[in-house]
This record gives sequence, C-alpha cells and structure tokens, in this order.
Amino acid sequence: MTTIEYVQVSFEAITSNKLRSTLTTLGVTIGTTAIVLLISISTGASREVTKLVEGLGSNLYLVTPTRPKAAALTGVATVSRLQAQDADLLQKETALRVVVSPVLNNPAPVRYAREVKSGVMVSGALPNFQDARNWHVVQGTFIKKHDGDLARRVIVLGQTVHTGFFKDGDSVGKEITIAGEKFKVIGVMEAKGQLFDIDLDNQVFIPLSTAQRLFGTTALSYIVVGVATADDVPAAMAEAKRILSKRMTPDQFEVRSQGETLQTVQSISLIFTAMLGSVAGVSLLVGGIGIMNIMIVSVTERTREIGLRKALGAREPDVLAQFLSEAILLSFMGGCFGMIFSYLGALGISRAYPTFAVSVSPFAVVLSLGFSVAVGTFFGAYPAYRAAGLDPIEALRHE
Amino acid sequence: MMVRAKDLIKTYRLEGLEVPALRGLSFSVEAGAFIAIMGPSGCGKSTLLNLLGCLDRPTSGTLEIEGVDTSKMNRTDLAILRSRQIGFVFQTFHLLTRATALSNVMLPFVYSDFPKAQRRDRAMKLLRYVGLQDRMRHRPNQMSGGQQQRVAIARSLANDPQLLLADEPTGNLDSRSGLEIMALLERLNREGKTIIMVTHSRELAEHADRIVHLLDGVVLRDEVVAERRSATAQLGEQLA
Repeated sequence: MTTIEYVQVSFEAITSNKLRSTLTTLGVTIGTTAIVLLISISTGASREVTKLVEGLGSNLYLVTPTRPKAAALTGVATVSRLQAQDADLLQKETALRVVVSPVLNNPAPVRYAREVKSGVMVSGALPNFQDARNWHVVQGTFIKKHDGDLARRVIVLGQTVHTGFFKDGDSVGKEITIAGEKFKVIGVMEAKGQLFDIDLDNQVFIPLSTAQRLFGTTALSYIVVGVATADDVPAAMAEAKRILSKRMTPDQFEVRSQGETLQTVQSISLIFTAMLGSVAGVSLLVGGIGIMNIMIVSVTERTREIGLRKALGAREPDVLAQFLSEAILLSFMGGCFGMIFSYLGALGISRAYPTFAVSVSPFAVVLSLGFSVAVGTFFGAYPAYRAAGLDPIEALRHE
Repeated sequence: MMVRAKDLIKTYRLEGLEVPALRGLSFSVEAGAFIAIMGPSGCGKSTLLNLLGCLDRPTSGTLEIEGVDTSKMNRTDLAILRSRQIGFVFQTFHLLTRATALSNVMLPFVYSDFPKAQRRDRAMKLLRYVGLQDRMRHRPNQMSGGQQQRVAIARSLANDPQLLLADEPTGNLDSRSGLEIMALLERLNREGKTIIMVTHSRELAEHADRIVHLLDGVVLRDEVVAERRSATAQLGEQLA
C-alpha cells in the first residue's frame, strides 16, 4: 500500500463522519491557532518596539524623577525633585559630548477657535530638544533661544494635534489657547507614532520658561540627554548617575536608556508568550487525547473491517499504517483549520490595533503544522497498535 | 495436491481450560475439487476453515497448501499467502459499506503487488463475470443480498487465487439467490478453481463432488457424492 493510498483511505474514513471528525480536531485547531498567534504577536511586538526605539533614537538616555510604578505608566506628573540646575550640571560636568535638554510635561486642555482637545501633553522644552530627542519640525520652526529668554507664548504642534484642528490646512500663524492664554503656532513636528496606547504625536511644545510660569512649577518631568553614538550611552549614563548623586539621593532619580525600556516591554511580552504558550500546550494535549479517544472508538467500530482486511492479506504494518495515517491526517486537518483561524485572528488584531503589525510568519505555520503531525503520531500510535494486533478470526466474528 | 492436512490438532485455551477443537484431523483436497464440509455445531468446521484460510496456525500437525507447509509460517508470511492463494467468501459478505462494488472488489489489490494500472480493468472484468456490470457504482446497501454475495465472490477472485474458501455462502440468502450463488461457484469450479465450502445443508453439500463429515474434531466420513446436484440445471428448470 502506498502513502497516497493510505491518505485516500484515511480521508474517506474521516469524511464519512464529518461532525465527529470536526469536533475531534477542535483541540488541535485551538492549539495550533495559539502557537501561530503567539509567534506572530511576539515577533510583531518586538518588531514594533525595535522600530519605536530606533525611531526615538538609541543614542539617548532619560533622567526621570523616581515615581510610583502606576504613575510611571500613566505619565501623570507628581512632585519632582528634578530641577533646571540638574540639567545645567549634567551639561557642564559630562566629559562626553552630550546635548542635555530638560522637559516639563503637563497634560492640559488645548483649544482652537471653538474646538477643545483634552489630555494633550503640553511640554515645556528648550531649543536643543530637537537634537537631543532626535525629533524635528516638518513645518515652520522649533522654539528659538529668544522665545525662551522672553518666555514667549509660541507653540509647536504634534501631528495629531495639528491634523485634529487643521485637517490638511496650514496651522502656522494660527492662535491656540492653553489655560486661557493665547499661543501663536510657529511650527509642526514630524509624526512619531504610537508607543502601544500612548500617542506621542498628541503633544505640543512651548518654551520651558513659559511652561514653568503657566504651570507654576520649576520641577522637571524628565531630562533627555543626546549622546554622540549609541556605544557611548552606557558610559554617559554612569557619569550622569555620579554627577546627579551630588544633589540627590540615588532613590530620587532614575537614569534609563531606550534599551532598558525595550527590556521592560520584552519582559511583558514574555509573560504574554508564556500565557499563550500554555494555552497552546494544554489544548494540544487535550486535542491529542481527543484524537486517541476517537481513534479507539473508530478501531472498535471497524473491527470487522480490520478482520476483513487481514483476511484479504493485510499485514500488521499495513493496518498500523492505515490507522496511524488516519490519526495524523485528522490532527493535520486540525492544524490546517488552526492556520485559517490564526490568519483571521492576526487580521483581526491588525484591524483593532493598526500600529501593531501582526503577520503570520511561514516559520510559525510550519512549526505548528509540525506540532499537529507530532500530536497525531503520538496519540494515534496506541489505537493503531491495537488495531494491528487484532486477531483476524475474532475481528471477523465481532458484532 | 491443493491441500494436504496431516494430524492437525488445534487446542484453544479458554480461562485456563484447554478446549480441543481439532484432534488429529487428516484429509487432502486435489486441485480442481469441490469439497463440502459438514458436521454439527462444535465439530471443528470453523476451526478447520480458519486453518485452511491461514488465519490461524495449528497447535500441531502439518498443513500444506499447494505444497507449502503453512503450520510453521509467521504471521506476515501467512498474510502474503492469503493475499495470493486464497479467496474468502463469507456468510455475511463482509463488504465495506461505504465503498462501491468496484472499490470493494479492488480492495485485495491494496495488499498485493497487482499492477496498479490494471486494477480497475481487472475489477470491472470480475464484476461483469459475476453478472453485475450494471451495479459497479452501487454501494452494498443499494444491492440485494445475492448481489452483495456476488460482489464478495468477485472480490475473492481479485488476485486470481486457486483456492476458494466459502463459509455458508448462501446462509443469509433466499433459496433463489442461494441457487444463483451455487451456480456461480459451480462455474468457477468447472473453470479450475478448487472450492472448499462449509455448510449445514445436505442439499447444498450435494453440489460438491465430495462431502467431508466432521465430528468432534476428526473426519468421521469422507463421502463421494454419487449424484451431484447442478444449480445451473435447477435454475434452468425453474425458468422452464
């Protein structure tokens, strides 16, 4: 008997009881779907984070005041000990060539004409922010030195704010109101994208001195430090810790590079991977047991057929191969259904989170189809072995 | 000699008890013979047929089929022998219910090295031979009992074996269909097949040229049929 014949016979047996076969494959379907989505999401996530880190620049680090974890995630400013002097100190005492740019963040409602946007991040910044953060204007100009010296009411819009208020139109020269004060738009920033749920473009920039007056604080939200090359970042960070320790205790500030942010995100995605991985593992196990169960039923139901085949000259390996191939095919079909579902799942996730590009990788497909075949082989072995060992006389007499 | 059985002993072990089924049975069948095996229940008919069909091995004694001793063969060699030299016809037909008549007849090819390209033609030829040229695509449940048994006979002929073993081949059929099956077996016998048939019915046994009577696992009497019945002739009379 050739392989093709085995597959044909198995296919006929499987399709002769469609509902039962479909239900049997369900476990493997869920398992393989989980595997593919798992791989797709984690590769999609790491690609996304890598892209983001590269976009932000790997040649910079941030100094932030120590905040409770919850506050760190929401970005809400709390009492900060970080002051403008710290930035000056860093700029002066760092031996490496660095661009130190202090930032004061405060979310506030922003109004244009009759339209109000709430929750826009208003950032007080210095002219060197563009170089430090590697984030530039695409229209107009950024904040100039004399804007800061005179604490002028000028504003540079992030892309989301710009398109929200002005659609495709020109915003430079228009007037924006924050906390009752009018600001003149002087430029628009390039699009920076989203970090998961945080829209970096839903942000506006005003001179740091203006922001300090407007929000009534001199405390800084963070200091962004641009370093010449990515390789120098660790050295610069070590230096920064030393310098800042002169003014603050080590538990009052944090020095983080984008690489560390990346690690945090990756550790979160690791938890996610472990979760989906156990779903995959458990459902493959349950699916395999389901296949074994239905194959035992199938062998019992077809005892007479097995007896007949033996009488007609089937050898034990023939019968073994027939039932094993049936189990493998059943499991493989579950795997194929899984591929369809995971493709749809990836499509759904991509629709729901457009920035999160989830694509089904060929590697994931091959891996999970391989898993489905392995499950079919492992759990089909015992029923097939039982079928092969049947005594032909007993089997023919079976009612 | 097609079959030569010498001192065949077969003992079954049931719950620790040894149950003898054959107790030193000897008999032989020439090539081209039509033998009927008769005897009461428990006389060892089925056991003998299973041994002849190489589905089982004797506890002791020798059994030659076409000159080859099968009593010491392993299961794989027995399976190969079954596929090449023996055709089975069962009382309950044993057709695959999901498959068409044609597929059923082609089933034995799967386990023999019969050339692939000729399988379909061979199966169609056999179905025409048994008179089912119009039923090739039918499934067993779309056919009468007599038609199903004819499919089974066509299947038994697939690999052109010299020995046909029939276990109560008409047991599940009405008398008319049964007679048709007997006529088919007679025809196969005339054309050279050796047939060994187990039956309860004296009337059916008289279609054979010899009747072997079994009792308690040995041959009681080996009877040459003086006046053979002819199913072909009987069918002719019924028509007339």
